[in-house]
Parts: sequence; C-alpha cells; structure tokens
Amino acid sequence: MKKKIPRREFLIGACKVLATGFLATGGGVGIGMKTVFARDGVMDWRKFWAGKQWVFVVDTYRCIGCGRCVMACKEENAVPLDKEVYRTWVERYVEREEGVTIESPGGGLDFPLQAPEEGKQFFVSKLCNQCQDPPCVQVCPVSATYRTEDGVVLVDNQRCVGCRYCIQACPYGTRFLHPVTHVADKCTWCYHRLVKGMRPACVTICPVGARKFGNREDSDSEVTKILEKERVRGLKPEKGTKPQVFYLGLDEVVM
Amino acid sequence: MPIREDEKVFTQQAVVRVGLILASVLVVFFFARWLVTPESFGQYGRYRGDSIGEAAAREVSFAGDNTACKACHQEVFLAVSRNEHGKLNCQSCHGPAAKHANDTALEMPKVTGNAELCGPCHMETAGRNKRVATVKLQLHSGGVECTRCHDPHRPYGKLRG
Repeated sequence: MKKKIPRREFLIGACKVLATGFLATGGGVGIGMKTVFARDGVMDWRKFWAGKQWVFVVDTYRCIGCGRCVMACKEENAVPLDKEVYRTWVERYVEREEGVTIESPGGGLDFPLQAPEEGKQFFVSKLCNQCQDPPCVQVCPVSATYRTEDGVVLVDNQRCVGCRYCIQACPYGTRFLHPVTHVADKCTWCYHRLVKGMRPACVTICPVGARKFGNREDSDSEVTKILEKERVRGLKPEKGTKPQVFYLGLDEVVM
Repeated sequence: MPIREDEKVFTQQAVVRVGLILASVLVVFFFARWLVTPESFGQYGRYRGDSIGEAAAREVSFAGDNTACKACHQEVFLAVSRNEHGKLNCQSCHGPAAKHANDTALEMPKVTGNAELCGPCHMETAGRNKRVATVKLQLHSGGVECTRCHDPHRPYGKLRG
C-alpha cells in the first residue's frame, strides 16, 4: 500500500523546494540582468528637456520628391538601404478624374519619370509624428517605448521583445521591425543629433527647405513663427493622437 | 449557539499561519520584482531611464552645416555661394561628411556628375514643382553627362561664358 503523505507535510516540502529553486535560479538570472543593465555616466535629462518642445513642419509646396531625405535618414540611422523599411519616406499623389494615385516606390527614391498632367500633383513626406498621445506607447507590453518630456517617442532596444504590437497600433505606419536588430524601429527626429544641438539629418539635407524643425517654446524659431502665422494641419486628427508633425498645404486626399 | 466539537474555528495559531504565508508571498513578489526591474526603470517615467542615453549615443554621419566644409574648401565654397546652389548643404550632393570633417585623412567618396546625381531634383516628372529647373533628359542632353556642360557649383556658369 502506498504511503500517504499528510497534506501539511507535502505543502511545506513543496514550498521549501520551490523557494530553494527560486533563489538558486532567480538569483543567478537577477545578477546577470543587473550586470547587463549596469549604468555608467548618468546624465540628468530633465535639465536638457527644460524649455524644449520639438516640432516638425513639412512644407508640401516646396517638396520636389528628390528623396535626399530618405537617403540621408537611412545613412544616418543605420537602416539597411536595400530593405523595404523606412524611418521617413516620400509619397507622390496624382489626382485624376477617375481617382487618386498614391505611390512611394523605394520610399520615394525610385519615382518613375512621368509626364506632368493637368490637375493636382504633389509630394508629401512622411515620418513619425511623435504624437502627444501615442498609441504605440500605450500598447507596448514591456514599457520599451516612451515619450520624452521634450516630445520625442523613443524605443528601448534592450527591452523591446519585437512583438510588433506598436507597429500595428501606429495609425501612420511609421514603425517597422528592424531587419538587423529585430526590434521595433522608427524615426526619432535624430535624437542623437538633437542632443548635440544639430537638426535631424533629413532637415539638414533637404535642398529646398521643405522640412523644418525647431523648438516650439523658442519664440524666435522658424517653426514657432510658422505655427503662429500659417494654416497647418497634422495627419489623421480624428485618431486623437495629437501628432506633432505639421503640414503646410496638406490636401484632403492625403492619408 | 454553542460551537460543536467537530466544527472548525479560527484559532490564533491559524491566523498567524495565514499571516506568515501571505507575508512570504509578498516577500517573494517584491524580491522577484526587484530582480527583473532594471536599475534606471522609473527614473523619468514608466521606462528605463538609461535607454535615453543609449538612443542619444548613436554616431553622427551628417555634419550640421557647411561651416566645417568652408574651413578647407574656401574657393569652391565662395563660388557656389554666389550661385543657384548657394543655399544647399554640401552633403545634399556629396553625401555624409561628419567623419571626413573630423578627420580629413578619411576621404569622401567621389561624386559622379551624371543624371543619377542631378536627376532626382532636375528631371521633369509629375508632382515636381517649378521651384527648380527641370528638364526632359532625352531632349535636353540625350544622355550626355550633365557635367559636360554644367558645373554643379556654378550651374548656369558654363552656359553663359
């Protein structure tokens, strides 16, 4: 006949085994993780953020669809040139009687030459809108994406598990899974340049001044003056995300 | 009503036992949380504070403006600044130059003067506005290299003189 173990003894024993196992494995893992996340030169970002609210303005009247911004962005941010992923891209809209054609071959680097026609034809560049109320941040299950106090949504490459919820949540389609790092990637308005007092690479490189960038809290900046005087609109206002990329001359067909 | 002998009652001992179990569950929970939470998590918000620094540490490829270029390439700089391309950033055509600006021993890649370079801005296509001069390549040059007639630093120069 089987020996009956009293329930109490069994529970106590089980607890002991679990506790030992937990301490042995968990402790090891914990020490390992703490080493991975070790910190060195700690900077107080609140000092950098004070008095800064970055905004981006796209002047669609100026854009000539040359794609220099797309190229510069890929080179600056190590996004593979030969892969169909873009932190920023340019779309061409051609309006005809039968409907609108929207295309962005190669992110705007390979527009086929096409004779100009009657009717509206224009380029619109797209990038992360750094929303004030970003859905991508809300859905991230591991808190790997967040919005800094100066208004830029960043991705924590070490914490991201590549689940792609954020990619689906973004109403603007600006996120993608990076083909090399296999974590979510997106435009950061070149945060590494902002901290050095430089403008994003696409803004620096734009030959016609279609992309403008600056601090909204600085009353002398070009973007502040545009936002105060010009009629601007963000993309998909009905989504309630409060996008921070403002477009001059945005046509209603632009999605 | 009197308590029957076989009816279970909460003795003091039982309360203590339950308390101990709850306490140990809490200890295990907080210990586990401490283990898996990165050190800088929550420093600025519900995210790992150190990741801001990591994002900001990326190396810069494109220099901020033409100041560094001007320091060495004065002649070209003066020529171009009086011409149609005067307001452009050098890197719009020449490519990323931050490394070259920091260490001039690292040479810039050569830029070709064909339609691949000039075309993205100057070939006529739907949507391209008239802010820039546009041409139908086949009618304009028949495929001859743009630099045979034009100097990108003085785009109309050669035609005039």
